[in-house]
Amino acid sequence: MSKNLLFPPEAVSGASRIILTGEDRLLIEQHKGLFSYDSACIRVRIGEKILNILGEKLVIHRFGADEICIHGTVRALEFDS
Amino acid sequence: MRPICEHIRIQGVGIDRQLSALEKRGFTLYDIRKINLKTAEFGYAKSNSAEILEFLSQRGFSVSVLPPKGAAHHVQELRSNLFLICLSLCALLLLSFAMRYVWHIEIRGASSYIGEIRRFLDEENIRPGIPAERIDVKALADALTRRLPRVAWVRAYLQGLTLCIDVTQGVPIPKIETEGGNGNVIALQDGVIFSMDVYAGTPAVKPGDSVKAGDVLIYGHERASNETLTTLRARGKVIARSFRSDTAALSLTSYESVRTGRSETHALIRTPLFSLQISDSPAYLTSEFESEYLPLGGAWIPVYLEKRTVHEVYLNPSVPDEARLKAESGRLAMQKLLLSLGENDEIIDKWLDYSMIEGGIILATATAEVLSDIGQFSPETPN
Repeated sequence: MSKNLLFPPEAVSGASRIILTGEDRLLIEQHKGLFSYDSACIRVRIGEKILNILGEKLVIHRFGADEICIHGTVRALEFDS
Repeated sequence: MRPICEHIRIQGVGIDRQLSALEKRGFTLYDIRKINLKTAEFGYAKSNSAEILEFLSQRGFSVSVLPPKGAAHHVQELRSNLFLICLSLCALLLLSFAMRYVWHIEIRGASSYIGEIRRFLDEENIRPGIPAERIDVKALADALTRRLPRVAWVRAYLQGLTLCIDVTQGVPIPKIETEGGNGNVIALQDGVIFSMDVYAGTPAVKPGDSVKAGDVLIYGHERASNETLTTLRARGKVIARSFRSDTAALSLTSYESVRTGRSETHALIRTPLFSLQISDSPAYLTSEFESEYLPLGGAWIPVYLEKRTVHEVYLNPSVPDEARLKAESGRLAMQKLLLSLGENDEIIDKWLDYSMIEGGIILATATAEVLSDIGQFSPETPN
């Protein structure tokens, strides 16, 4: 359907979108909430899974209903079920 | 665009869960920073302040509001105050407009010519409020210099909003002294010539010569190139080494008054014009008294009562400390000597001598060797 209507697939399916710019800015759209937060590890719910963002001096720059913007040095992204 | 935010610090358990709960309620949070397990800081739109604070306090969190931070906060506040922005812009426009005019004229150093200068400025329509570009400062300075012949030069320039005119007056040629006619320069006192500056005339002595008071130092004539003798008023400075001295004498015997114990009080009524004795004063041979004044009144002329207590005394001779008296007389003699010296006299050496005079008097003599100008003009017939 998304192909026929030329909508982006994440807008139709409700999947989260993760945009990493360099290694110090991370934007997560359509998240399902914050699981836990620490300056070294931030855990965000995305759909059925949990995304672990590992790094240093992590700061949640903006945390809203639609998106989370994280600043800091991102070392790794892991998915946990 | 990010709204004006308020930042708070919260302390409590389960911070992560509460942050998610806030997000689920539709609040957007900014700059979330975890200080430790139980403390975090974050910001939110100021319009949501009441709801968020109530939410957190209901869940048992301790909340403290942090001071606003960042230039963005201040810029946003300023943007919301449109009136202030307009006022600032108007003020800037007015200032830039006003700075293109001259609002003050300052004239310095003109003294008696200030009226003339102000008249000239009026004629040229140069007044406060004139546009600065209409003033040609160079032409103004030239015109004023021509108009005031006794003035050496005039400088005109613009300093901010002020037109400055600096006037420097010319120094008149000093009058050449010719009073007293022709004559010589003679010595005021004995001395040994140290140096000579002859301005007019022929020197009669040279450095190293001894002179006595009255000796001619500079002759009042000069020999011209054609061997003719011209008489004139001799002028010059003749510095010589000479001795000056002064003395001070103090008596070794002094008297101190001792009260006998007898005393009496009498009263007088006093005014600035007269005094009236109320009771008789005692007839002691030697006495000293103390007075007490009591104002009685008076409209334009003050009237007061003087209560005078008279004590009978006798004079007891005493011998004061000789060393102290000697030092005192020496100090007095030196002080008198220094006061008698001229401003330009240079003291080379000074000393004190003491002697005892018959009658118990200490005499101190202060002597100084000085370099001074001993020349004085004498209007006599030149040699």
